[in-house]
Amino acid sequence: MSYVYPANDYGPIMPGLVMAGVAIVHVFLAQFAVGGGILLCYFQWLAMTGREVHARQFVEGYFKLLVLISFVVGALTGVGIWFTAIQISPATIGAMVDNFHWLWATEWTFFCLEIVSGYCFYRYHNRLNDRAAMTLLTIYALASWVSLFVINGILSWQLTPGRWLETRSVFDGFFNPSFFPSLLFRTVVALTLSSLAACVVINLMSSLDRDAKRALINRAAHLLVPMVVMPGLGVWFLSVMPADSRSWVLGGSPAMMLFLNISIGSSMAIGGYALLGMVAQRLYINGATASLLLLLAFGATAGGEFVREGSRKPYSIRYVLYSNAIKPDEVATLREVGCIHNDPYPLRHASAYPNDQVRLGARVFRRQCSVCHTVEGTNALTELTGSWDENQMRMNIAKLQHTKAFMPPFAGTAAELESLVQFINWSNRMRPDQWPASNSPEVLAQIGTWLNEAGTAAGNFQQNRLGPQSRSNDVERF
Amino acid sequence: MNAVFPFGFPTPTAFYLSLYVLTFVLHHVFMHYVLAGSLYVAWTTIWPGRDTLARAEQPLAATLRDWMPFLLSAAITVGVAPLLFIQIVYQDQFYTANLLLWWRWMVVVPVLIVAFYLLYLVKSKMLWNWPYPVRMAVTVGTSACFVFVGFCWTANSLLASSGQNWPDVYATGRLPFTTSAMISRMLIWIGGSFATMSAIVGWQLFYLQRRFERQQFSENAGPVADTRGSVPTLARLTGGGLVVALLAGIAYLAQCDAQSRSIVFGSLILPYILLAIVGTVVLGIGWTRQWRSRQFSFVGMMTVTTGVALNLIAAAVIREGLRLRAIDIGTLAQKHADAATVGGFGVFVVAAIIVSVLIAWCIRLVQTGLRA
Repeated sequence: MSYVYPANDYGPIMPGLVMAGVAIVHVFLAQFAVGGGILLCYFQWLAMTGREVHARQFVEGYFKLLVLISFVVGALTGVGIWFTAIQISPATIGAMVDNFHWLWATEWTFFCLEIVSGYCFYRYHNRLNDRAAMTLLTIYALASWVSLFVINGILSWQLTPGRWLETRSVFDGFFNPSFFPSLLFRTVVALTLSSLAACVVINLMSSLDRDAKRALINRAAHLLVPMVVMPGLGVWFLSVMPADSRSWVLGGSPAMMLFLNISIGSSMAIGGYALLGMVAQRLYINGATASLLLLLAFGATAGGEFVREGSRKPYSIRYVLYSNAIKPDEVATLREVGCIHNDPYPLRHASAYPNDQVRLGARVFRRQCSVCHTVEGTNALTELTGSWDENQMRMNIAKLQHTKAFMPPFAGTAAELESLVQFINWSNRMRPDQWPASNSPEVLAQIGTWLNEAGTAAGNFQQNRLGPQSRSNDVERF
Repeated sequence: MNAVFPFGFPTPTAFYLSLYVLTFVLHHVFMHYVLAGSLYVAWTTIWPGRDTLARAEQPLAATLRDWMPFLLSAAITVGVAPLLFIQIVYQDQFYTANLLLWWRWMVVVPVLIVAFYLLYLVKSKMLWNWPYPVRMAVTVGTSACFVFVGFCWTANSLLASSGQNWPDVYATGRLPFTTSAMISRMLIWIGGSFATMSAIVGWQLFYLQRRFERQQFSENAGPVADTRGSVPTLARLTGGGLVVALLAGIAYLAQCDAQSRSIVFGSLILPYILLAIVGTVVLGIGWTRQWRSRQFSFVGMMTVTTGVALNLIAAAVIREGLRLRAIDIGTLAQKHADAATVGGFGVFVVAAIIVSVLIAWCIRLVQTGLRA
């Protein structure tokens, strides 16, 4: 049985939002650093070949930004993601480390190379000859792209583990179905972010006149050209997603669809302006416009990362681990022995609950629900269930994976389910000091029947359309 | 645990434990530079001294201020490796400690971000034109950030080894160790960090000294300062730091239970106690030699470096030995064995070789690519 970790209460904030906040900032800065390396190689070449008079000055200014922002906040938020992932889902990060630690160690070697090459350039570029400077920048760009290459494989494995499910080969898991579309997509995003950031930096170069800035901006805009392939890469990524995940983002989940549309809309706005205006018409853009475009890009990144994370539901690692850190093959056993039988952690503020049943319900909530739901706050159970009567609540939770196919099956006993219902109802009724315990054998028997009807497998979002024997997933493809 | 560390454990356990300890040592090389460096810079800011050149502007402090941002970046980057391997070796314990510390652990990241930018401010010429109270606040604040991060890591390590207290810690939020135990543990590393810092900055000043000596005979002598005055300072910092570390170590052991003390003086760890003694003697010889000649020397610095390396390895293993006493690592043997079957080790080895060559090439590029 899986190890039970202590869970912290984030109050009205969904724990996943904390993870999202750190991850979005890191992904934005890290992809900026990757693209920045490639952009700097281009501008160094322009400087070396005399094609652009002010390229050298730009390289110096841009690299300072890279060091001051990406090397600091970018690097530390990367560590922050690890820390946050341990807080939110230690079982997930543990499984990722268990299966990919040598590839993660490989990524670490390239981090070291990135830092050394980056700081060598930063410290000595004013005194280096062009060839040495170009070599350092190329090494830096290569190192940062390789780190993207590696982490992309590990992250994409969570959604599409592919043949790894059968072979358990680290390379099958790494080069999974969504590896290449996401790698190429992220590379294009990296180029886009670096180009937009360059436009901001160029506008801050007060010693340059407008024509000089325009020339540099037009050069930086060349890295926006690859945006033309983003729609195709996006379609490719969607096509390799599991069918149920694809259905969430294309309408099954309004929140996921909203984030996807934000991402697409922002990207189209940037892409349209960039390609038609900055590339085709060689427009000059001022600092405000450049900043706005960069902000739009941040929104696109945020939306994309939300979709990537949310589309994995009900899993955090497909077919391996549900979002609540329960393994699919443990559900049947937990229905017998209970989900908190091996949870050593007491309730905090236990005296605030009116009876043992509600206390049990609070522990069941903590164990199975709290990673994605709050009681009263974001994605709150009180609001989601506010209009349900008790029987509806019992049935919906007992058949949770059929209530919403992106929910995992309930993994506890009938008594635990009833205690969760009582806990939610007590919370809905503003937490009175007195609350009657519910001990009806008929109720527990009905819950048991519903649990049996629901089964222990994940939900099938195509069940009604294609029949109960259809697969909502496409393991056979892998 | 009747054999010398890491022997006596199953091979996968020994392998991952060794990797963790070695990468931990590597992280501490860079981290010590920043920790002790920031404390020294803070001290030189508070007490500028009576020399013509204020302490903060002398080569030692100036070098530290100049290089600390890069060394912090190196410490963070290199620190990813022990962070990775500790999740293999002690996954449940490490994660549980993280979760129980909660915001007291998570705050490490924003504190380090603040500290990083403060280091750039300390490095800048701008700060040294600001009033004394501001300079003091910035430098003291910077070092306080790193001491705090050290506290968080120490708390994490101690909590990870206190499995029997976890439910109570969760319920009450109270950490199951005394303030004196925490302070003793922290002082071991803070004291020891001065020895490491002195070794690294000693090399930097050694090469600066060589440039100074060449420039004195050159027609184009630049303003490279004489660094020889830093030798006694670094020797005193090393000696003082090691005395603090030793006293703190004794104080910590006195607070440990008899079983922990028996581990430290048993076959698992005792050879590393002896290694630490040897390392300290070697360190002492290195600095004494240079103090007498009042200048840095290659042989002297190599001796110092050897002593520091021995001490770091010894300290890391002693620390690990205390944790191994508290955690029944035998129960994790299967997990380590499973981890050892995971593929990709060959990729890591090849990548490490390629990256090492490229890092050397970067350094060579800087040496050969400087314009006349």
